[in-house]
Amino acid sequence: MDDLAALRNCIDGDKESFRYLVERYQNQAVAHATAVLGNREDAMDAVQEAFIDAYRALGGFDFSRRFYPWFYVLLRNRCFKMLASKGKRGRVQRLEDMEILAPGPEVSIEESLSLEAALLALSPEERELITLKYLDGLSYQELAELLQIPKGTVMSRLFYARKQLQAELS
Amino acid sequence: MKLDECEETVLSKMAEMEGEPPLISEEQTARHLIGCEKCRMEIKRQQAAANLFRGQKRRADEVSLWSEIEKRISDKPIVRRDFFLLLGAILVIYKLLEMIPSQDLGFLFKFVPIILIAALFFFFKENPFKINTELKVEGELQ
Repeated sequence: MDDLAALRNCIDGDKESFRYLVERYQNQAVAHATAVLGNREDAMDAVQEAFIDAYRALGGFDFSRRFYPWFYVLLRNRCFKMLASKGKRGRVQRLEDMEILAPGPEVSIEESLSLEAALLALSPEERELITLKYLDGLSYQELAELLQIPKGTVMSRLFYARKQLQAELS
Repeated sequence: MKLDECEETVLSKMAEMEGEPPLISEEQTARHLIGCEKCRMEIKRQQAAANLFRGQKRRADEVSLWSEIEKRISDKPIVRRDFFLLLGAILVIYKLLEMIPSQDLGFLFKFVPIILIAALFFFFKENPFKINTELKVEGELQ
């Protein structure tokens, strides 16, 4: 089953098709929400709420779009709403938890820890953008689509995010 | 977005290094960089920041959210776009009927919109006109 077929079935009342979408995207969504919120527990709550928002809004889904970029908008809204209501920006996390990064074998733990600390010191918007770019390898165009901003804005925000990241590390 | 020459050069060079189409030609970039030490240093810093992610991956644990989501969506109807079109059409027809001067539809006819709104409340199981005061513009978080 592909996403669009699953979406059509969902709209016709088939909940199992929605389960397919949840199970297909939940890990990715939690990882993305963790980068914004700075901790995994809140990220799981945000993803859960975003899937419920998505289910209710399926009737208005534009079938010329892909599911995940559409869902990501709902997820971002949930994450930023959560940040606003809780008044925190993910800076209170214990470093040893390593919520965002999973270092590969060629990277030292110390490097990863200091990068994770620097990421947590960025604003949620900067952290979101820089992780989507450098951990997921999205192109400027894909970032523009996902974050619903012009490509030029992606470039300049990335510039300031990299600058801020360097400042945090030094 | 209006950029000065230094910003444009740095953004263009970074785009090029990341496999994206540059903003300005290679010759323009090279010409600017020859005379601008500040930009050369900035590009090095930007590149170093990007290189920090080499060998890093995003932590992606297995999660299972379906059982909780299933419970929560069991009583939530999917709001279909044609539902709102139908509702709009009903209200327009109602208004047109009400405007016919020779037609006396009686006192009870006035309750039709109220009944429709009450049905909406029942259907959504929440107030569909509720204004969410918690919503904030992204920039306000700063």
